[in-house]
Amino acid sequence: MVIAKPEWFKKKKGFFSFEMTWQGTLYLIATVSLIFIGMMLPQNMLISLPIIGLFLFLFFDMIYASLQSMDERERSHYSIAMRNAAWGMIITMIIVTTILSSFNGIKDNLGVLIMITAFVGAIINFSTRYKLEKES
Amino acid sequence: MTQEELAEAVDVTRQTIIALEQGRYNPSLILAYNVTKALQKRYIEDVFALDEID
Repeated sequence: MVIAKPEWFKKKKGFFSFEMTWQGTLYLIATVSLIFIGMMLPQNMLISLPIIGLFLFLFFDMIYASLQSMDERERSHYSIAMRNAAWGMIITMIIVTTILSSFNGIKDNLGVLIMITAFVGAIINFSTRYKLEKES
Repeated sequence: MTQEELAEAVDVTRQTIIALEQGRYNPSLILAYNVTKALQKRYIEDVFALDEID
């Protein structure tokens, strides 16, 4: 944790009711907006690399701060969800890469591969946490 | 003491307290100790019990 503070992402109630403070909301908006800024700017390595680096830094900083705001039960749920999501993303990457390479190659569709993998990871993460939260 | 107050005292969510009460979550030793202290009991066994020991 370098910038974000755990109390910005403090979860007070159930699974859906995050009570994020304005600092947390601002931090989330700033992080997500970097994706759109990166997409809008010309595709140049000199411009893209610092934006990708900044995005990754803010993203992992936010994840770390969010983890600090969780209690031990939520943290164990999160760990299980991340493990499932990682496996799902690996399998998705293998399948999508195989499909893309058999058609027109992955070089032109790298963005599609990343988007699909991230989407599958997010869905698996969310559904695992939802299931665990319902069970306990 | 309400669930909300206990949750705040031991710095966990109310859902965790509910899960503890219903026996659906096994707390860490630190959490068990903190809950025992918050409930002003002397021993962890006064609050938690092991149903089975393998």
